[in-house]
This record gives sequence, C-alpha cells and structure tokens, in this order.
Amino acid sequence: MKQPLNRRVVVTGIGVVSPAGTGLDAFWQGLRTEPARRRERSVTDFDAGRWLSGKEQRHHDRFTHFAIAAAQMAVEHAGGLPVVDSGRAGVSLGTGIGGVGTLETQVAVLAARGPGRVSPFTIPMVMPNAGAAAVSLLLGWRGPSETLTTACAAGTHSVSAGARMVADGRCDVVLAGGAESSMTPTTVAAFSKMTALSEAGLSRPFDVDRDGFCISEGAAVLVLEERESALARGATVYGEIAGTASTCDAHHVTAPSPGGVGAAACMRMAIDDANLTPADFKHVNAHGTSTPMNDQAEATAITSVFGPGAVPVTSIKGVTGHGLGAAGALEVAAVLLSFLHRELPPTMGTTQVDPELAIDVVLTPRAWQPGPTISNSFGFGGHNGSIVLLP
Amino acid sequence: MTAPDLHDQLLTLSVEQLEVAADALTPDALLGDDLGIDSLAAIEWGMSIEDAFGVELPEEAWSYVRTYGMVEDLVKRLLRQQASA
Repeated sequence: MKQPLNRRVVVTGIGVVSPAGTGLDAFWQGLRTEPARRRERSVTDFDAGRWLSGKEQRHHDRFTHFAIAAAQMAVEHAGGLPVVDSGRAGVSLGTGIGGVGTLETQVAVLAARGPGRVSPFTIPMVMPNAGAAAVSLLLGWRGPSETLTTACAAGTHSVSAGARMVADGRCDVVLAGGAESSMTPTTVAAFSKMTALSEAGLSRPFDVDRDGFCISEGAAVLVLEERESALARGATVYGEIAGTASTCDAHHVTAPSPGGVGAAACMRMAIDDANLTPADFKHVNAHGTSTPMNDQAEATAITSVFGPGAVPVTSIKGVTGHGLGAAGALEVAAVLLSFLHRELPPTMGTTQVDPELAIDVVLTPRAWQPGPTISNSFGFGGHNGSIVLLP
Repeated sequence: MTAPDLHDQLLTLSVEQLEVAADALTPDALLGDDLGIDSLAAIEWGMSIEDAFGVELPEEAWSYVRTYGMVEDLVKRLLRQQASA
C-alpha cells in the first residue's frame, strides 16, 4: 500500500441540525440558552420540505433527512466549493443506529397487514449507510462514501476517518460528520430499561445530582479540505483537525473501564498524533453525557492526562442532550464555533459540579483565546474516539 | 366505478405519489424513460393502487407493463374481473 502523505486538514464549512437549533446562528445561540426540562430532545425547527420533496422524504428515514440537510448547509457555508475531480470527493458519515424508526414502522405494518404491505424502500431506508449514500448521490461525488457505526462514538470516528481521507491524499474534499434520529418508542424504552436516561429530564454533565442522559437527535456535517488548496481558493478556515485517535476499552459492553483508562489512552494518542503535549491544551470538549458512570470515568481520565483542574472542560449535552452517533460531530461543530466566537459555551443544566471530580467545568460563558482543543466521544461497546482541533 | 372516475382517481394518486405533472401521464408515457419510475418506486406505486382500488396486482405485472396507459388498463381489467367474479 502507498505511504500516506500526512497533509494538513482544515474545516471550511459547517452544517448543523440539532435540538439546540438548526443552522449555525441558531445552534450557537441555543448552546448558550437554558433548555426546557425534557428527557427526549427532538429537533423542533427542522423543515424537511426545505431540503427534500415529498417523495424524497417518503423514501428516506429522518436521519437521512438530517444528513442531507446538514451536508447541503455545510457545502453552502464553504462557499463556492470547487470539486474538480468527483472521484476525489468523499463522504464519511456515521450513525449510531441508522433508520430504526423506519424499521419500527414497517414491523407494525407487517404485524397488521402482512408481508405484502411492507415498503420496498425499507432496506435502503434502514441501512446505516443510507445517509452517506444519499449525500454522495445528491452531489455526484464518486470517491469513498463510508459509514462508521461505533454507537455514540460514531460522529467523532467519522470526522476522524474523513480527515484521514484528506490527510492521506485519497481525497481533496470530504463531507464528514454524523446523523441520528432514533428516538423511537422501542429505543427509548430500551435505554430507559437499562437506566441510562435521566428520570428528571435534566441533562447536567458532571453535576453531583446527574441521573442519566437525555436522548436526542440531529446531524452535523463538516467540509474538510487539504489546507493549502483551501487557502489558495480563498476559503474561510474555521479550524484544523490536527490529530485523531481510536481505541477500545475491551472491558465491558456498556460500562467504561475503571478509572477511565481507555479514555485516557485515547486522549494521549490523539494528543501525540497532533504532535502536542497535554500542557498545550486550552479546552476539553467532553463526551459528558450526564450519566453517573461516564462522567466519573471521563473526569478521572481528563485529570490523569492534563492534571487536576488544569484545563477548562465543557459539555454541550446539557442543551443538546445525547445525539448518539451525531453527538461527536455536533461537538466538533461547537468547538469550531467557540473558536469563531472566542467564547466557551457553558455546560448548561449543571449547577453544582460533583466535588469528587477534579475538573474545571465551565458553567457560564467564558471568553478565551482559542487554542488546542480535544473533543471526546465514547460508545457502547467500549469504543473511544478523540480528536484534536486547532483554531 | 366508471371509467372516467377510475381515470381521474388514478391520475390524482399518481401525480401525488410519483411527483410528475398530470399532463405527463399520457397513455403512451413510458414508466422508466418518461416518468422516471424505478423498480422500487413502481412496487410502492402498485401498493398504493392496490389500497386505493381494492385490487391485487399480479406480482409479475411490472415485468410486462411498460406505459402509464397499460397500468390504467390493468386496473380496469382487474376491477372488471372482480365485478364479474
């Protein structure tokens, strides 16, 4: 196999669909606004009709609606994106569960009316790669079009994989991100049964009273380009992806490894990949789900890598809830906006940081000089993803 | 159901489901080349026709039905068969 080129990768466009707001202005505003107390946080300002015809809506699951919308917003945001060679334009779009809502609907159709009434579009709507496929088809991009599914780490892993496509020289431009819409009666019941969801309907990462996550949905897609060609075309650069890492706890299917050792190892690898040291970091965008176990393990991991209280920590899940396979991509988008606005968004919902956690949780908007930031995602299965972003 | 009723009802259903203009749905319009109906869309359209008219399209119908007019004729024939059964 050919040697990778190690080219520098920058973000030149961002598209967001989220419960905190759809579009960058609404999203940034939403991240700094106290959300309503809700255990299930759906996207309420999304008009699929803006992006898809009625027939297209019928033939795509909602997670693909989000993917298509976020991808188009990102391309528009990138402004005059030149795709000279469609074979070198790729898509890396992850999801945690895929089109489970469509599957549930069709299971009900099967039970009520028999196999003859099951939609012929079921499989292409349910498949987790439907979002990536739809985006490639829409744009006519013929480079790699891939979907990683690593549960709640899928967004971070997909952005990382997309960055690798550019860094390695395989692609000139990649749309990378995650999309999720799997808040169905069955998945909510299942997450609830495993006591993962907040009974209080409050997402309060690292709070002493945290009692689970609030499930949500959404998508974020980034335009990734090779740095020199992006600068040559006069693109606005929102940040650089300087390092990535992926590890597995190999400890338990849902519980994090004790002491967050898997998360710590992942962060250290990403920092090393970026040729940086922990002392260089100005911000940790945490996975911070608001579950007792994740936040405890992650805080311990952050402390072990950076030292106690050494670096400001935020989690946007206080507002967005947990968008599963979209979460990591939404959080990279939030970091890029915090570079742009020179402000760290607060960890909403959290009022009293757990005194057992030795981390500096940002509770109110904090002005900052943007600097190296690491964003974490951890998924059921023990999957860890960390990504290093530079302003 | 009279023939004009069937014609109008099938037209309304098809315009909505296939997102094509009513005047494109001529008897000679080819399902694939003229109307852009692929195999999955055809099956879905057929299911809507079955629901709307209370008929059952033969599974092999899409292998020989080529035009919009042939679909309309097929529905008419199935309704006639049903009425005389």
